[in-house]
Amino acid sequence: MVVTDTTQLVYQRPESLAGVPTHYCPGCTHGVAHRLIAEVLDEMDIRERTIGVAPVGCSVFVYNYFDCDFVEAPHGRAPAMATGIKRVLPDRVVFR
Amino acid sequence: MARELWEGNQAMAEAAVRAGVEAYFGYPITPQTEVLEYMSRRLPELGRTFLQAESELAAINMVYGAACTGVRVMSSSSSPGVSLMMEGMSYIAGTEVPAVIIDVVRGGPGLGNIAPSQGDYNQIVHGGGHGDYHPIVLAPASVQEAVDLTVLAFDLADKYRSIVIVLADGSIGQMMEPAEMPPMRPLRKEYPSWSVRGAEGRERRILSSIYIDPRDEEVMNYRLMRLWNEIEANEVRCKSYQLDDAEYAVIGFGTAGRVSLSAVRSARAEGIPVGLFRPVSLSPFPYEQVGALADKVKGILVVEMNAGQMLEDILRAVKGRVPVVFYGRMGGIMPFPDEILAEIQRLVSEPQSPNGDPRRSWLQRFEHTLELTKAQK
Repeated sequence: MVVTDTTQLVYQRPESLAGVPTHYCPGCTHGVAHRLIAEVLDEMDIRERTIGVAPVGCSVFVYNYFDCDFVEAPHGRAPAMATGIKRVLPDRVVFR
Repeated sequence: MARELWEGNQAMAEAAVRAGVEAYFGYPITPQTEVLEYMSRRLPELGRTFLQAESELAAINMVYGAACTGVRVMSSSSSPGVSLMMEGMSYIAGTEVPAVIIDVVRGGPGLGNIAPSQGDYNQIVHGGGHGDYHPIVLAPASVQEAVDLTVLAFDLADKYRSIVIVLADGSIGQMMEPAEMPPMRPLRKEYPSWSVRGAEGRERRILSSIYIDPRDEEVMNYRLMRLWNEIEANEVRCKSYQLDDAEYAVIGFGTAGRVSLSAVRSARAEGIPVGLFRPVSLSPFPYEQVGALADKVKGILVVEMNAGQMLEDILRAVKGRVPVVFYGRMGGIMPFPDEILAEIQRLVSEPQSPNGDPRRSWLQRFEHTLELTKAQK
């Protein structure tokens, strides 16, 4: 009898996500949102020129979950911090 | 390079440009607006970044973001605006990234007025943001010194990954004087090993002021305090005038020091052996130098454009060894040299106790000062 390997990879962690479990509560959509962003970073191949800006709140530790450069903003000031970064590095992708 | 006539605010802006500032974020406020106005024209002309933010809160956090990329970055404001930046400064200190802030101090508290003052001493030198951190603070007394200290501010900020504040006042910002600009330095081509600029071909970097485990936060605080020890050992700056043979000393920083120098010269013309000590770095403060002065003279007069904020640091250094008297003008009023001369004459002629309360005795005499001002109105 011939055994054929039919295993097909249909789902895996995007390269732009770090391989660590998140601290989010069961049912929370933060993890899904991170994954969607990471998939885009992979698809567009921009992980190495992307800088994330973490907010204050449950996603304060988001910098642990992405495999790209990150800064951590004060409460409510992520847009300002992101502006500061984007203005001096206009060719980088900055997200918050 | 030739000496040119420069307004203080514009001179500090151009000095920052020459020192290689790549980005300026700010929000207008008198008597500092010319820094921002000058930058709005000059930086785009050089292909660098200028942005007028929607508030001081946004401006300081844009500075924070840009500082994380390892470029030279700055903001400037005046007292109420600087108050709004304090939270951001604490975060910048907690993240250990360099930034330069210019504070052109005006009368306060509150909205106050737009006249020159030194009422931000405590806010800038001893306080402001939360947590244990010390900014380096430099206080110019002329437009030339404002230029030189602005350049130094960027070098010190980079050297120690620290916030450096140039503490000027409305008169330094608004006056015009001849000053020589430093040569234009090239912008940096290589960025610091900690800078966040995209993880191309390297491990990711994270810049944050969070240390969620208090044990890690304590290690970070210890690192900051050890660094501060080093700064205290290396970066104290001060100027002495006619102190070699002096029996009395006047101490004042910035504009108050400059006006005091005129009074000291007049007193010398009357044969009074008095000199001036002017702290240039307010943080680190020249405690040791003031202490040495206290061992040498018979009495000290402290002059400030506030209600005696630096006075506390002088008293800490003098430790009751000689009498200290205080003279201050508040709320945006600059003292005239004659007022300070009268205080020097009083210090020399009337016996003073080393254990007195200089602020209380100044306030008791102040009624007279207010009467004089009222008569001028």
